[in-house]
Amino acid sequence: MAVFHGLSALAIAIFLAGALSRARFWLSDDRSPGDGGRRPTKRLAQQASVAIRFLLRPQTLQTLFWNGLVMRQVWRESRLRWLIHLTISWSFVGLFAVGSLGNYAADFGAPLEKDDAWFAAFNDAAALALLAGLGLALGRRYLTPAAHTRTIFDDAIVLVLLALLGLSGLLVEAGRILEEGTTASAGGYAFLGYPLSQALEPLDWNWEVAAGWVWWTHAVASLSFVAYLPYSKLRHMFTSPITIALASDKEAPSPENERSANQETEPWPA
Amino acid sequence: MAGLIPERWTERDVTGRGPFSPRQMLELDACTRCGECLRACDSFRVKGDESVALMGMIHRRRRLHNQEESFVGRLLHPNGASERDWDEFEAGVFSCTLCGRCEQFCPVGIKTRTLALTMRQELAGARCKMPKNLGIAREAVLEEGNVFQFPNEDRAMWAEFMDELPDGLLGKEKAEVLYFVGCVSSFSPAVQEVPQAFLSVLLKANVDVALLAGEEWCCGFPLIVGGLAADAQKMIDHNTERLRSLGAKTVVFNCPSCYYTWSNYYPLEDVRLLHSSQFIRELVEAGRITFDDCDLPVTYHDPCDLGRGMGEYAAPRDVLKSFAGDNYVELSPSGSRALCCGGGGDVEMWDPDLVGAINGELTDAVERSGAKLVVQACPQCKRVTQRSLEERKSEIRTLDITEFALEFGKFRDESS
Ligand code: HEM
Ligand code: SF4
Ligand code: SF4
Repeated sequence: MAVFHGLSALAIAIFLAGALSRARFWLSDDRSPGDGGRRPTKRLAQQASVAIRFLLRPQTLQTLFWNGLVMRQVWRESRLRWLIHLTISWSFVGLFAVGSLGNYAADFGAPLEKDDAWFAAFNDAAALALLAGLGLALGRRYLTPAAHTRTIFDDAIVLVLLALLGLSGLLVEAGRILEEGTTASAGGYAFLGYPLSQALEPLDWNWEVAAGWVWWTHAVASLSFVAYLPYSKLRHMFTSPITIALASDKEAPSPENERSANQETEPWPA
Repeated sequence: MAGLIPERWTERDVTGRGPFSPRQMLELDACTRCGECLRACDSFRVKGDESVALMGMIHRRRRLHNQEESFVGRLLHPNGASERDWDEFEAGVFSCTLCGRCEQFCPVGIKTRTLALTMRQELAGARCKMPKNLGIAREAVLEEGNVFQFPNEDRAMWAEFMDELPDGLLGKEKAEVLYFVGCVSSFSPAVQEVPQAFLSVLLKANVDVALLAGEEWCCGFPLIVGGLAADAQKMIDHNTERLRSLGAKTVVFNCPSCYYTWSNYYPLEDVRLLHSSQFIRELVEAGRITFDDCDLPVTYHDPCDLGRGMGEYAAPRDVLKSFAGDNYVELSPSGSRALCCGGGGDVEMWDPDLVGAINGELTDAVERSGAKLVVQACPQCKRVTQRSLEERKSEIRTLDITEFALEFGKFRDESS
């Protein structure tokens, strides 16, 4: 466990370094009028205050809600892309919240059991949605790409990492069932993990060892995903709701509005 | 006057730190490479080169940033990005007509037009990288006051050719309304009927109108869209000063780009700005122009700077529908996704072939619509589209909304 916690800390550190480098990028070109004398820290604080004031306005929060949760804009633009998004993002959030955090909670004494019917069924349903969404995304990108689809290596890394996450998660569950033994009736709720365990059983591996390997594969895939996020196109899960909120708000800071705005009090993004 | 144009845009800075706002830097980062802007972009359709569309421009600008500013980039490129990389970026950015169509397609809400404009601002304003002809046009505007390098005192020559020009109109010192004509309408022979028609409409409607004639200077639009906003300040100051001494409280335009520029860059809180289509709609609503019923199938093409730029889609349609009723047909696509005529973003100055090729898509749409008359509301759109239709030997007529009102409208004062 110590190794896992160490790796988690490393992944989070890489994530934070990425997030910081993005924030630096966003501010790297700024040279507000009259900035000459202002120190960078003061400028940064000012930028942050304008950004936070914008983000906390009720209108912005509303747009963030609709676009972050139900992805209204994606729905408007393409139903298939929306389905891909909804399945991937909701299942991802669900697996993270219930699966990972639930496990932590159980470690700290919360009355949660992995074989609880709802817990097992939820995890498997989310994994199914994730894999279905990924299947659609892979098909859309690699089998029937539209004329304007452009694919680079990053697209593959993102999709493969997510697929690895989902598949290894199911294998972890199957391995655990084989290692600990679960009755068919209880296994019925793990409607993917249990059949998978039955399919793997004839292999007659040492499941104590194999389950450990599978668990590490899943853990490393999850941590790689977290670490890679800010460097990949997946950072759009954070930036898109913000750019959409900015676009839908006529009074948002923008070069056009800046012309009439008081430049000293509204430096972002003057 | 200071502060109208962001001060830092006026700085000539070659340190690599350009004029992008944090919001725009975020937009550079937020692009998902989904390719929707390729689907929207007619410049890309013609050139087949991604670097002319927003996705490619964003990609190239990020790469330049990485080469010049990131730790690894600086290790690999100690002298910064190569001149060739900047040249390629420049070629893409200056092939964009700034039509803003891609903004309507971008699923993550990137303000593509402003972003492309800022890229030009960075290239031309901060790095002095621009097509040669833009440099020539800049000199022409600054020295002559017009983009065509003609003597500016000839600006109102089109009016002198009019039969019914009232005596003293050209030298008028006070008036309620200023008609700001713009360079294309004033100097381009292919569209001189447009200002003539609009002035006739204004006179028939008994408007107390004046022209600035040789004292009208370019509104600044070609400089602003060329990325040279700082240079436009001189034009803004001069025209504003002329307006003040005329005492007019309303300015009317037949050119949507002038209208856009005055609305966004001129410091005029107390002055009413109206595009010709809005002015004509007011006449229709007041019953001062009426149209006989007609059975001519008519369509309308939204100019980029009037529709996507100023959000005015309704006024010209209201006028046309009061004339054509059910014979009015929409182009497909139209409104906020309307096609670009090709003539925007100064591109005609350095790549006229691209302009003609872009227009092909619009002309196809006009032919598909079944209309016999296409009404436009921009002299540049009319110039480019008319040329295309003539090349195709098409029988479809193009008219500006002002010419349309003059030809088909009955003016109350005239008929009563
Ligand atoms: C308002 C929020 C969002 C918007 C507007 C948005 C928009 C987009 C767009 C335009 C693409 C490009 C599609 C393509 O590659 O053709 C994309 C791809 C993708 N998005 Fe989002 N997205 C949002 C949030 C999210 C979230 C929260 C996730 C969660 C994991 C996510 C996961 C993905 C994935 C995995 C892809 C790649 C799909 C592929 O490669 O085909 N997105 N998104
Ligand atoms: S503004 Fe118009 S020409 Fe420029 S990239 Fe967008 S669609 Fe293409
Ligand atoms: S439409 Fe927007 S997000 Fe998609 S590639 Fe173009 S700029 Fe990027």
